[in-house]
Amino acid sequence: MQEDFHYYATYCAAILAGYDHAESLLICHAAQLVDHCSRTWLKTVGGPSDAATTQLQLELMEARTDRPGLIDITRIWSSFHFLPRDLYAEIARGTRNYKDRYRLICGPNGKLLADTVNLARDRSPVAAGIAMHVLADTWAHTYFAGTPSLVINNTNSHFYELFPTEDGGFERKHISFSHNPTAADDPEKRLYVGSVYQSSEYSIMNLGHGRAGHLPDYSYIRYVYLPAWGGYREIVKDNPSDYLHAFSQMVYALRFLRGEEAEFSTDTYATATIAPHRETIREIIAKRRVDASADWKAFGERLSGETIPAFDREKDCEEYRHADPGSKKDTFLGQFFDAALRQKSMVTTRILESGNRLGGLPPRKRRMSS
Amino acid sequence: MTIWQRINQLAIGIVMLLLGVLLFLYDADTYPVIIVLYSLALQLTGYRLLWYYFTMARHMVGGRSILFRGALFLDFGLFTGSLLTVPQFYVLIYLTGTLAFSAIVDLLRAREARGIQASWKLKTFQGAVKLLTVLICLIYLHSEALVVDIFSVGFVFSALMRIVNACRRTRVITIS
Amino acid sequence: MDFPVYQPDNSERAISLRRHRDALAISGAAVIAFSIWDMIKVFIELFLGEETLSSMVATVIEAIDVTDPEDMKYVPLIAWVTTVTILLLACAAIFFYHFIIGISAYRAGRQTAGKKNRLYLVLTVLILAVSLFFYTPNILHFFPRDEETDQIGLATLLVELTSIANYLFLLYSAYRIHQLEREALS
Repeated sequence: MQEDFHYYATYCAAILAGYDHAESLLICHAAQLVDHCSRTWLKTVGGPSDAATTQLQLELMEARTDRPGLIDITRIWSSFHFLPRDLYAEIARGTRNYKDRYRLICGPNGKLLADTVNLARDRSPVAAGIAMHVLADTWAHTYFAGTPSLVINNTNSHFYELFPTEDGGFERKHISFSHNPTAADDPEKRLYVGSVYQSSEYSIMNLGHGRAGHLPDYSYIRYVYLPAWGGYREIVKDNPSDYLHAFSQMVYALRFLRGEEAEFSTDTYATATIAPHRETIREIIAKRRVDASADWKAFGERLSGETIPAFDREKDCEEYRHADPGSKKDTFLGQFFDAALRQKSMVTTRILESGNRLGGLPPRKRRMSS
Repeated sequence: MTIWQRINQLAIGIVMLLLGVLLFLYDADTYPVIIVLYSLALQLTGYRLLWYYFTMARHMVGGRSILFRGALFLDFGLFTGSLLTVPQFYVLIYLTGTLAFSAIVDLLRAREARGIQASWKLKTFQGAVKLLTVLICLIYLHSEALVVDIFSVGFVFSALMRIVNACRRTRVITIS
Repeated sequence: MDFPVYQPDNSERAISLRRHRDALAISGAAVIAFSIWDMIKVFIELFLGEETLSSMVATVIEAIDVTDPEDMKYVPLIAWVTTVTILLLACAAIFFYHFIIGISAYRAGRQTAGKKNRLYLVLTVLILAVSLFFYTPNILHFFPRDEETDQIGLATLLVELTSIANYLFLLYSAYRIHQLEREALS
């Protein structure tokens, strides 16, 4: 998912859940910041390095893929972008190493999602924003794992886009991938940019959905493909349906975080709340283009009657830099770093508790309490 | 390229550089060392791939290709190791052959990189110089000592290019 | 949530068909790769092995009966050109044979072949029979070999076994694809 969903759609969800304009902006700003909070950026801000929620391309290129390096990558990507669906998933085949990777496959409505949303309860809207990023990505990044792994994240040329036909069926058309980093995706020709095949298990190219390019990030597309782990079963990735579920679940989760729902249950959606706007949301999601920001922004502004400013990563940096050491934690970024550390620590602990060795050690306790 | 891969490439480059210089200085006496190192590296790659196939990749869609790659690397390594007992002149031809193969791979990769508007000039230069070295080696095939010198220069060049590549920044597509 | 739903065909038959098609394509690519490597080894062995190119040419020269000493000058040249040409043609023919098998299997596996082609399967059966006929004694008598030839013997044995296994994989995949496609039609 990109800025269109993590920023503008999250704003819309927050408004529908009952938050006011200012709180909704905090939520969507935090949700989008998850895609920007790298160690390089943290250095410029002066934030704790452990609070990194993403890694830049350059950082990934420089990242080590030995055991500590892999643990670091896995913590970041599994905690914020590829939340594992089932850390105890039963699988009859493979060695322990294989099972460790398999159990990190991302998916919606897992136990960890409930833990993520519950962790943000009774905390600032900033924590809610981070949780919404994680929740939304469980839908977009389904079937990929937040650890470099060829045997899990690889794909082959078996990729077909699905077009609904008038008779209620679907027409399949082949999707091609180019490996030119400077090229743009071309939805009309069904030509997308993806990472090149790397036969090394731990290559950075085999992290997450790199091999499938940005297909999981586009709300309009439906496709079938053969994931490396799927034993030749065709997997359908129905983004319009998934994005609608993600939006509806975000509204439900945000209602819970506001205290309007007694508990957060997985596989529950705010269907009634979004019902009056369902057609608008469906239209935005299904429209064939790679960036839906303008439509989500317009929808959000209609809902709140306020103007949604463009996302600005640097907006709150000065406040954090100039705050007294004692009051840093009360700033937007202070709250963001605290919530990020809690989320990372929670997911890492759960991974470790499951006996999975890809999570490594939890972040240091002293950082957690900062 | 990750730091670890860079260190790996730098280490291989430095070993190649040393061997190139030794080959230039001590001519034929260096052959066995080159052959043994080359053979071991290929065999280890083969064993590693086979291990990877049997423990992990056999569960993956298209994983059988890893098995074949492992078998080929292992065979290549064992075969290279067997060349220790043959006349050194032929070993030189074999090494020149591998240099030619490497030159062709470089040129093909450069062509591919150009096709996708990626960095291709350095690769083309590398391939062209290797190919030139091979041609000169073939022209002076009758003079063994001269061929050894030419080959060692080519070897040093390959080593330097590997070191340069290890230090360059590279672009990759990952996710965001 | 009220978007049309696509149901992929994940029946046992469909999964098996995809699996065997992929295996066929990989085996096809492997046939070509092994053939290239075999060609390289043939040339290396002709330079390095016991039966070198020069001894082959010497045998040819000895076999030629020339009475005129003037004509004798051209004999080595003719012998070399003839031997190398025959050798290159033989290698090209063998490679082409493997290439036909490999590319046809690859295209059949990836479903990019224009029309059904069974010739490559006949060629595979033939090459498998030839391989088994020539290599079985090698495989059976490998272990008592002396140490000097061990490594080269092991290398050859390894690639022979892999090649034979690959031909068997290829034929089995093609057979299963044929069987599964017939099941689908019936």
